[in-house]
Amino acid sequence: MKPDELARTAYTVECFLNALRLDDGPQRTQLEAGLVQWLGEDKNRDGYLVFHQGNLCQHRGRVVMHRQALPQAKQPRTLWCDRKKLSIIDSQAYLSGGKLLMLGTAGLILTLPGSSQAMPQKKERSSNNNNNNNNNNNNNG
Amino acid sequence: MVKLQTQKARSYTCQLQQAIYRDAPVSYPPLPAAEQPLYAREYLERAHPALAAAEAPPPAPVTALVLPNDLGDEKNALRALIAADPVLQQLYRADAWQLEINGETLALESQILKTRHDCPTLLPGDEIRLHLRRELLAAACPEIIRNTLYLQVLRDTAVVYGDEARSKQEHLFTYQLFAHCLQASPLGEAWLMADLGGLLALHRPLFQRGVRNNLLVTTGYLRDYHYQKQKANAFYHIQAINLPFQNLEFNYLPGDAA
Repeated sequence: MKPDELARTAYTVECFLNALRLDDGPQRTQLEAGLVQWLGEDKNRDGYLVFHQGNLCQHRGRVVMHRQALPQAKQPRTLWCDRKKLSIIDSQAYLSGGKLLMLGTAGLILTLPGSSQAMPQKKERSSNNNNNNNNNNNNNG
Repeated sequence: MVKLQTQKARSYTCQLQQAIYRDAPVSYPPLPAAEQPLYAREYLERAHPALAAAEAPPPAPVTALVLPNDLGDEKNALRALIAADPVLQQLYRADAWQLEINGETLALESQILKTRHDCPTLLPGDEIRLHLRRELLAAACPEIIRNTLYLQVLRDTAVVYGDEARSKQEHLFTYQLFAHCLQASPLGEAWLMADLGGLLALHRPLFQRGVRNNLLVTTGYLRDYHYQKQKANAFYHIQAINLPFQNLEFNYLPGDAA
């Protein structure tokens, strides 16, 4: 894997594990390294990760290659990532045939748990998106 | 008789009854203060229906939204408003913008209408090209040469501003490129193109670790039209209160990464 692609995969997996609210530490580092390596070795580029109801599944296509419990994860929603994208997915669609219905990342906290870095907005009410605007007199142009 | 003699509305039992109730709180527990107005109103309706009928209803709570009755009419739904307005149809088109990332293309759709959401991780070395249909530049614009590609990048860090004091995504930068500066697109004659890889890389210091960013695209004249429509149509305004333009949410590898 090229260095750039490795960096992309590592950062995507980092955000994925942050979204699960997994605390930093040796256990997480080991898990993170293993997942990055596993995705990097994916020659068909159809590998992805799904976190659903406390379990982390490593997929090759729709086939689950490995499953492990992550009881320390604090994320009620079903999350998906591959080497370069991250999203909440529809849990019912995933359960019924492994469909991946991407719902975006609204409301996910992607910073490391306990970090003092800028916290993203929490958005729960809107069906779509972001409070990102929007009167012409107050949106900086 | 007592009322008649004293010329007061209270009966002689009021104070006596109150004393009895006060002295026997177990048998006659007082209503919580919050429930007393409701009980008083129920008593009034039961004992003095004529007075109750003349009384004004209690005021709505401060937190209650006041919305017009016709807000829910079908003709006022956002998609119906778009269908009735040729310029809005252009503004909300789902087939007019393509973002090409390292050779893979992704159709950009209005962020308030789309159902599928992608959030890729972008790197400084990525080839990122934005393709737009040439005809968009003529929408709501009398002279194409005056029109621009209008691009905004926001970050999912909250700021509060405006008369509404809403918590909103933070604007990082706005970029406008005049129509005649757009390049020919490999997608064909009907398309134009702008290279965004360098522009995003230039602003890398603004992209924070673990914070999503939001790229929104439109034309200068379509953006103006959106705000004119907001002023002209309150039903449109309330439903397009968030930016309605085509967008891509993305993570950007921060500068502190190895």
